Amino acid sequence: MPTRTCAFVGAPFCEGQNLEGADLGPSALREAGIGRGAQKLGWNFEDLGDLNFAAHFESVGLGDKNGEPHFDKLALYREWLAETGMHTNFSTWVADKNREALVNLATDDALAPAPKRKKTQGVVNAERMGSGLRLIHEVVLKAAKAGHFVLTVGGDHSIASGSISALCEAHPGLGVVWIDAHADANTPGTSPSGHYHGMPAAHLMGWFGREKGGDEDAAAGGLRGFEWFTPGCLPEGQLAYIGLRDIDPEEGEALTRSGVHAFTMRDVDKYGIAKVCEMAVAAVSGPDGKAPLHLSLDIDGVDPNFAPGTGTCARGGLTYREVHYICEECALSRRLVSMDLVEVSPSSSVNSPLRLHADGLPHQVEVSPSSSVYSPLRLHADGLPHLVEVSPSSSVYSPLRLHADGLPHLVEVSPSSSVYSPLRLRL
Amino acid sequence: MHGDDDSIGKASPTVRLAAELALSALGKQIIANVPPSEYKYLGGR
Repeated sequence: MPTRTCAFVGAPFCEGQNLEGADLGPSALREAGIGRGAQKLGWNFEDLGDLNFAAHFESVGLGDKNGEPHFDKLALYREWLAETGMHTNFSTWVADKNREALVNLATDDALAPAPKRKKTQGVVNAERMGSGLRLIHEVVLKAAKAGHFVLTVGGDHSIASGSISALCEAHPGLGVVWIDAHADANTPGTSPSGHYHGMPAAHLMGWFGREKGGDEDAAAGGLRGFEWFTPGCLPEGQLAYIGLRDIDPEEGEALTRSGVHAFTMRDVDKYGIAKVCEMAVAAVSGPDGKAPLHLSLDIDGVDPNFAPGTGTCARGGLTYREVHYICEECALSRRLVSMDLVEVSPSSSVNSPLRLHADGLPHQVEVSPSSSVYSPLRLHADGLPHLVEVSPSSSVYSPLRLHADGLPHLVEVSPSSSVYSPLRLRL
Repeated sequence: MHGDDDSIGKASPTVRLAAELALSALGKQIIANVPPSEYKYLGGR
C-alpha cells in the first residue's frame, strides 16, 4: 500500500522569460509516464493538473500583455544557436536584439551602432509574474501542508519563487539544493534583461533593492504583483547551488559576498560529485543536520549533450550520472520533501544544428525523440560526413563507437536492436 | 544503467531524463529503492 503521496503540480508558467517551450514541460512528463514510475516506487501519485494561468490572468484583469513582444520560440532559439554558438546567454542575446531593433526604428538608420547594454531597472511583466507565482504558491502550500511530497514541474525557473516561498512556510528551516548552470540571482537592478527567471533566488533571499540605487520598494516587498511575497524567506545559508558555470559579473560579486553555498562546475571537477553533493547537503541541513530539503532542479544544469531541450544551454555541465547521483543522495537523506523540475522544453529537444555541425562538415542526421542517450558532438568527432538514422526504439546508442574508425558510413539502427555496437560488426 | 525505466514511455531525451531524475528524487536507486514511507516530514504532522 502506498504510504505517501506525491502531488504533481503542473506549472506551465513562462512569464519569466521570452522563450516559451518550457510550458510544455508538465504535459511532456505526464505523457512520458512519470505517474506510472512514481506508483511503481510505492507512491500514491496525485496529479493536481496544470494551473490555468490564462484563465487566472483573465480573472484578475491581467489578460493582456499590453503589447509585450511575443516571440516565435523555436525559430528564435535556432537563430540564437546559429548566430552566437551558445557563447552568449540567450536572454541577453534577445534583449540586445530587441534593443537594436527599437533603436533602428527610432532613428530610421539601419547603420546606427548598437547601443551599449543598459540595465533594465525593473522586472518585465512584474504584475503578471507576481500574480501567477502567487497561484503556484497557494497550490504548493496546500499540498505541502497536507503532508505530500510536492513535485512542481515548470515552466521556467521563476516558479521557484512561488514553490520555495510556500515550502519555507510549510517546512520551517528548509534547506534548498539548487541545480543550475545559472545562479538566477540577479536583481531588477543588475539583470541585463529584466526577466524574472534570472532573479528568483535573489528575490527569495531578499536581495531586491539592496544594490546601490536599487528599488527600495522592491526591497521592502512592494514590487507590483508581489505584495503577497516575503522577501528573505529563504536565508542565504540555507541555499546551496550545484553546477554553476554561467554567471553574470554582478551576480558573481553578490554571491561571493553572501552566505550562499555555491558549488560551481569547477568544484565538481576538483572534488568530484560525491564530495560536492555531501558538502552541499550538509551546508543546508541546519545546525542539527536534520532540516527538510527541497531540490530545485533546472535541467540546464545538465550538460547540453545529455539535456539539449532547454532554453538556455550552457556547455560544461553535469553528466547524466552526476545529476542522477544528486537526486539519489537527496532521496537517501530521507529528508527530501519537494522538488522543482524546470526549463524542460520538449520542442527544442531534438535537432540542434550547432552541436550537430560542430566539426564544420555537412551532415544529415535525424534523431529520434525517444533515444535516451544522444551525444551529437561525439557522433561526429571523427570529422567526416555521415548519414545517420537512429531508430526510436534503440535504448542504448553510442555514436562515438559507431564511427570510431574514421570512415564515412551509412548506418541504420534497427528498431529491435536494444544494444548496438557497430565496431564489433566491422571487425 | 540507472534511469532507464520501463515506466517511461516515448519522450525526447531531455524529457526522459527529467522524468528519470524525478524518479531518482522519489527514491529510485540502482538496487534498493528508498520506500516512500521512509521520507521524513511527510504524511502530515
